Amino acid sequence: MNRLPFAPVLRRSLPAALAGLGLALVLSALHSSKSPASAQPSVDGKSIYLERCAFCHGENGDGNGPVARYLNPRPRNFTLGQFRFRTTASGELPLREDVITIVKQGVRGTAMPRWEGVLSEAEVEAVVDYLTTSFVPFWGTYDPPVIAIPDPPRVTAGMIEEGAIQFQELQCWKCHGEQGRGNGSSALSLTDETDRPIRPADLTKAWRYKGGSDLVSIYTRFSTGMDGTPMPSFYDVIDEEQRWALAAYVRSLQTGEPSGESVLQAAFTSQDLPTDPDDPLWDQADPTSYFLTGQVIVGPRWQTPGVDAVTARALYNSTNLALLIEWDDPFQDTQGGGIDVLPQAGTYVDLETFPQNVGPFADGLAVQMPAMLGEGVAKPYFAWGQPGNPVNLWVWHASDQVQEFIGTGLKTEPAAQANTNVAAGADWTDGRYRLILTRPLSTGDPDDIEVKPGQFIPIAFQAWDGSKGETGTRLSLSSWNNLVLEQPTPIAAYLYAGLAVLGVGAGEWWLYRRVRS
Amino acid sequence: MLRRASELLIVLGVALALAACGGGAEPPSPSGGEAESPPAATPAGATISGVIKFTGTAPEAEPILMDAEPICADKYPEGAFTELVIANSNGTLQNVFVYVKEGLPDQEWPVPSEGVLLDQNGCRYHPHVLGIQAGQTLIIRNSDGILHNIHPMPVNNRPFNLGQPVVMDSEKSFPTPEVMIPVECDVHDWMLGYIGVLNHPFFAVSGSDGSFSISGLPAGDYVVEAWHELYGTQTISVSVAEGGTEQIEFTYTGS
Ligand code: HEC
Ligand code: HEC
Repeated sequence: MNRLPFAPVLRRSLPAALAGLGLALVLSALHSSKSPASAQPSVDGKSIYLERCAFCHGENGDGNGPVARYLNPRPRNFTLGQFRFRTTASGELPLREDVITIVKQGVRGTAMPRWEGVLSEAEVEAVVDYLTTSFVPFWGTYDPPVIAIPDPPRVTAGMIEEGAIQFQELQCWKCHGEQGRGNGSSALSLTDETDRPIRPADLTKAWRYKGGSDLVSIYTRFSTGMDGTPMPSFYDVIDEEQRWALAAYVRSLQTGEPSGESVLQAAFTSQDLPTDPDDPLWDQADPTSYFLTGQVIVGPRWQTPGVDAVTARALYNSTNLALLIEWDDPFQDTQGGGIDVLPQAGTYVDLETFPQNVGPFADGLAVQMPAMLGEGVAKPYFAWGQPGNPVNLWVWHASDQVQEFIGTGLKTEPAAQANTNVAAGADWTDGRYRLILTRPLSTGDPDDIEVKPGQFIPIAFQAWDGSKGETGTRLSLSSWNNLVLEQPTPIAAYLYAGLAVLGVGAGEWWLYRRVRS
Repeated sequence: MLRRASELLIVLGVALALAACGGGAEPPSPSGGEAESPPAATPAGATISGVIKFTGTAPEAEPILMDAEPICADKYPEGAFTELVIANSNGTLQNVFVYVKEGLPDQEWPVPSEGVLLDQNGCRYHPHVLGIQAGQTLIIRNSDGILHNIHPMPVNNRPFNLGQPVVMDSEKSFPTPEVMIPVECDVHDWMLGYIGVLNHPFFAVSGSDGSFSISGLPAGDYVVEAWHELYGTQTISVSVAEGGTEQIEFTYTGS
């Protein structure tokens, strides 16, 4: 079965909806191309290219394949001869091995699939030789100077300290932001080699590193620069020791990948619930992180979401529940009210015609729970519920309003509830939002879910990034997880563990189905 | 895209040719020609000089917001403005690159051992437009002492993108003729400059009086081209006698 090789790819790529899209496209191509798994592999580079690569990279290698207009970043235009992932000096062509390496590993968080395990070694080499010699200017005309990368040293605290100084002195923060969240002062004006906007990497998200989040990959990126992007080479301005220190510091900025743990445990406190995100009381609540993916269920499908993860904590006391939700968004968009001009189409958003200056739209976040909970009531559809089985949506916008809605599916606009019983307080600092939502456990409002300790309450998160043009159903969303108001009973621990496993399974199954369909 | 592709084919041809004669790679040292001892250069050659006239109105220079870089902003007490069109008070145009496009004898011209300076000062390129010979050293200076990244975007040459975080010089060169290569700094999106690369020394940039002068030419019939970043190119055919001087005049018209 030619679908099997994708299982590992799929798991690695779960966070990125666009990777999903890429895979979906690849999968459909595979289905249509009825390649018999048993037949001897073709090692004709050109036919592999036309079959596997051309619908993204274009038959002429110009990056203009039929699906290119739906992708961000766009597939590489090989005829410009600029490669991001190299071991050669700034501006030079990559080595043949560099291209082979990146084709095998794919570009994480983008539509560029991982081809290792899908194509054989010989096939990868053949397709790389075909594309380089057919499309890449200067290919084979000279020997590009290589940047030798020695073995990495063992990372020490001292190195990280020294690296922090380098990060300051080399002014990486002008693009990447003080905390590395991709929100530097120059970040909004950057463009790539085709004059399209490009954002600096969020260095805190290990799972978003396109070329690898390990020490050697980081060292390589800032030493060689990433041609075709604003990311310069800094090789000449620091020595080897300083380079390793800088790499170690960048690595230390990385936070872990959301683990797939699906249960958000609300800790009990007898005190008043905190309204300040810096309140030490929050330390009593375990942070749990969730991936969000683009909304690709109803058209226009949004394959390039802004917010790809949120971290939540929960506390409750005898009367109220408080959630602290944190997520990275490099630019704060507080102004809403922009008119959405996008035609409702049944397809993916065409990024070529997507207007650059839609909006303004305010950033936003929604917490979703079922509107009804109880024996025999099925969980509503994870994306805004469904007719007959609605959800509660606590929708906060950076214009600092919070309002409760009833959702009955993505096809109908959520209906505002008569009363909003949720209070919100938010703070945006250096590329990160921290939002506190507080609600009485029981509101007496017939539209609201009642929150009781010990229960498993399905909970999901959705986010909008205004400066990415997100509003309405152009948003990113998580699958269902569970909120549990902790009761200190030992049995619960087992239950959580079991549920976590179930939760992961379900989430993956959902994405897998999406990707396959 | 198509245009690009055909251009690239040409480029490839040029690059192959260069590689064939041993100068293909991009070494820090100047390519090919220099090794040959200074040939019968041009002590008393001919001169083509003239002026770039400008009629009509130039688009208004737009203010540049440099607040993010006080070190640069402080260098412009009157405020900084874009340099897209700089019309001189005497009815002439600055920053026009003028060069001999056709008619030179088929020979190699010595590459000067001296470099050409491109200075980043006040978050701007000085000069805004410069000419250099293929293989000649380009000295890229950061006088500001804050991060600039020097990022030329050539088609016929390889690009590069170097971070310069402190006051420093870097040296680079372009092996292949190309008119013009835009240069940008991604950190400061208003920074823009142009580099004209030729395989001979017969070029000039019009100054604050709109004049230019190209000297040391052998006698011959030439096509001279003028290039302006907004108004594009114009050509004039001109013949110069041994040791003679010819005056030519280009006229650009604003709106
Ligand atoms: C689903 C679309 C898609 C398919 C199919 C695809 N690619 Fe890509 N590819 C991309 C995108 C998008 C990028 C750019 C990623 C970025 O800029 O971060 C890319 C980048 C690349 C790069 C550039 C790496 C660099 O260093 O800059 C190479 C090489 C490449 N692809 C080769 C291939 C080959 C070979 C195939 C077929 C075996 C292929 N791609 C199939 C989307 C695709
Ligand atoms: C002029 C802006 C700019 C500056 C200055 C800059 N970067 Fe970058 N950097 C970028 C951009 C843009 C990207 C993303 C390129 C892409 O996605 O293809 C990037 C990507 C990266 C990556 C790659 C992550 C990945 O996806 O694999 C690393 C690591 C990195 N930068 C580190 C640094 C360090 C360290 C410094 C300072 C020494 C620095 N950058 C300075 C713009 C910049």
